[in-house]
Amino acid sequence: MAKGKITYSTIRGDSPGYYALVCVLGALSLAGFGSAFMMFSQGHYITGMTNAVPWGLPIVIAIYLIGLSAGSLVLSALSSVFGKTEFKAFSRMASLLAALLMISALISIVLDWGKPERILVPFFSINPRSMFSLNGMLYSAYITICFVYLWAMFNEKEKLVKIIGFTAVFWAVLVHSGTGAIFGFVGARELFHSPLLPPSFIAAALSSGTALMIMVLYFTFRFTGRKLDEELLRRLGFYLAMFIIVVAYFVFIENITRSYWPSNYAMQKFLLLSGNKYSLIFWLGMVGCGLVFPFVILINPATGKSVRWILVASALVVTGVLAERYTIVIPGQVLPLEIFPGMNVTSDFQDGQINDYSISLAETLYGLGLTSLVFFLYVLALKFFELMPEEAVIASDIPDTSGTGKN
Amino acid sequence: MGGKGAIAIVVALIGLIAAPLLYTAAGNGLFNKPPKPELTLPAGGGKCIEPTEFMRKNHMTLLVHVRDDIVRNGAHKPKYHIEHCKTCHTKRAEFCDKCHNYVGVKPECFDCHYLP
Amino acid sequence: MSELDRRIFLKLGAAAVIGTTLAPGITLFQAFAQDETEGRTSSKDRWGMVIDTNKCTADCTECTAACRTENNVPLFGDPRYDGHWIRKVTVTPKTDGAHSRSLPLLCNHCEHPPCQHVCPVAATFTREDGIVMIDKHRCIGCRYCMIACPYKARTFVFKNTEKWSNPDVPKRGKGVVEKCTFCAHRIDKGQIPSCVEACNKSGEKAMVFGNLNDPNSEIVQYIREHAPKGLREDLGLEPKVFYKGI
Repeated sequence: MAKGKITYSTIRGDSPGYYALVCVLGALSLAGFGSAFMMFSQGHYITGMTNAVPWGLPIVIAIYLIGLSAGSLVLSALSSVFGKTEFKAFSRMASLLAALLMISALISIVLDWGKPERILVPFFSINPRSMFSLNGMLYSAYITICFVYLWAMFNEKEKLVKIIGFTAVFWAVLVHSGTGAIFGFVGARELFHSPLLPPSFIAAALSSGTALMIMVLYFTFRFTGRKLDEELLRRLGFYLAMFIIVVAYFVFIENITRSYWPSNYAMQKFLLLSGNKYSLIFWLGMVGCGLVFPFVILINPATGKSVRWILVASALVVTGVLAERYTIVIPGQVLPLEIFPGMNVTSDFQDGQINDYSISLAETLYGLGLTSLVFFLYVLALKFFELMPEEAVIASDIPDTSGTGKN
Repeated sequence: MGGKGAIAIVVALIGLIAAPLLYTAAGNGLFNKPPKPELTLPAGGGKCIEPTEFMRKNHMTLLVHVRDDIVRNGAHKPKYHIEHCKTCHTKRAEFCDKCHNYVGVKPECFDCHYLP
Repeated sequence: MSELDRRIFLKLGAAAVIGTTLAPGITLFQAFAQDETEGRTSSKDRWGMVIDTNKCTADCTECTAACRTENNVPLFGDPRYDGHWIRKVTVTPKTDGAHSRSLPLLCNHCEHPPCQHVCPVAATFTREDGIVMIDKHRCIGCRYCMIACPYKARTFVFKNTEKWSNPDVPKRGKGVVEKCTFCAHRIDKGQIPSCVEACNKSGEKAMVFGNLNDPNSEIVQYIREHAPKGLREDLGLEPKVFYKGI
């Protein structure tokens, strides 16, 4: 292979395993759309959402997919923007995955509306003060940027790739701050109202996105039988460990700030110490799977070098960040609103009592379906477009600049 | 990607987009026009505030305009108001539904607004 | 065809195209030019409400019942999905268990409504006379407003309802958010909201409704005399429903 030159080619995609994968993913996506149609035709009472908890799993899945998309895009931009040329081989796959994740997230938001048939309304009436309205513009521009970036890479327009790469990274910061702001700007709910949500959203997006990319890269190369240098995964694993530290810092600061002031004691007790499903998801899911276990695996020299363990850590992070998104969306609604401070409140509309939210079957299928849709399209795209490098190795004439080799 | 694959995808997409049309056409019997609705003038022999041709073409625009004015500005004396229509055209099935069914439009108005 | 002829032909063609596209719009424009401009809301009015919690009793539900009938508020028999435009709440101070009060809670028609700020399609709007309303023709059902409202005044329509209890007022199809409108349709006819009417007629006479901009109105006199408070005034939303005695 010539120096620095990467050949891309389509995958053959004619093995029974490939067709089985396509069928399974396609069936799951269809099931997701089916349950979305049920929600549309029957009404939202078939979901676990209620008047007290109006946002459920579809919103969790949407912000989760948006977050995953960031990691993919940043990985794609590592080579063109941050000069990490050893990752250039992945940039096409990564930027396609970023676009697909964002498309699926948008579908998840729209199909969750009570009136998805009014899809055109947001294009004609805009409220510039609404984070939803602004985010709609940010998201659609983000998808466009991803596809222009892909086009530039396919046509090997190096200069354009660099410019779009910078734009994409800048835009990703906007998109993920905006998504955090959907919750952070709501002053009515104590658990949402936090200026830390936009930056911590970016941090969690990077950690989960990188973890997803590690898994996707490993399995794609494994199933196609192409060569993937394990050192590349190790370096990504090092980045993942760094991102986990940042997320942990944000989680720590946010919770210690809340817990300090007496008016929040009840709220923090509910979230951290009550032993109900929300605190279990917080400790086991978000802190355990998302932060502690994978970090220990990644920094431990005995496990951090083994690709198998890096994969385990990545799977943990991907699960943990889903738990984190759940913890952002749900507990803030489950806790009752303080309409009368200092009073005990009762009514026939669940005022003053802790609400319940349990995920229904329709929502589970919805979430699974829209996540499968991403990989369904990804697997198909690999067959029809020249996205995958013939091999991904660190060229010996490119110096190791990341300084992560010893990890 | 080969040319055959591209053509297959284009054909599949066109099929997908045309599916609802084909479905409806097959349901009605292909190219089989339904009979024109027979309209009867309301009893009483009053006169509409605009010519029939104009109303036939523009009633929806008038109603939407007035709708926004009523909802947003609380206008309660608009010139065009479905309440005025109701004074002569008392039956929805006779007045609205016949033509709407014929041309295949399904306005959402009566999901919420009451018109007997 | 000479060059001149061609030009005339092109011009005529262009005129014909413009004529056929614009003519319907122009006719409509003329039709609306004769439209009456009076009879709309004006910023001279500022509707508000005072609730005297000393008078309101726990077993009286006249206001909620009247609202349900007047506005076709859905009742499915499942507390998770029932609509509530106005609801009765019992509050007991944590320090004094015996001193409990009952009061109705409804949309506060804030001066700075967070629901309106977050609505992505501007379906929630404030009328000239200060009433916060939802344009259900435009609502996409994203439920962001329900997240943003600190009073839990909004409910989502989870299912279709079949019947109208009051045919003069539209019900809501599934998939939009609904809330109290201060009975805007009645205000436009010069009447008072149905909850206040019911409270005065057969309830405890605990509600006062009126124009906050009119210094001689009953409500302004009442506020001057008793200095009632809004709920969660610390949030800075300037609600227009005031409570005396909590």
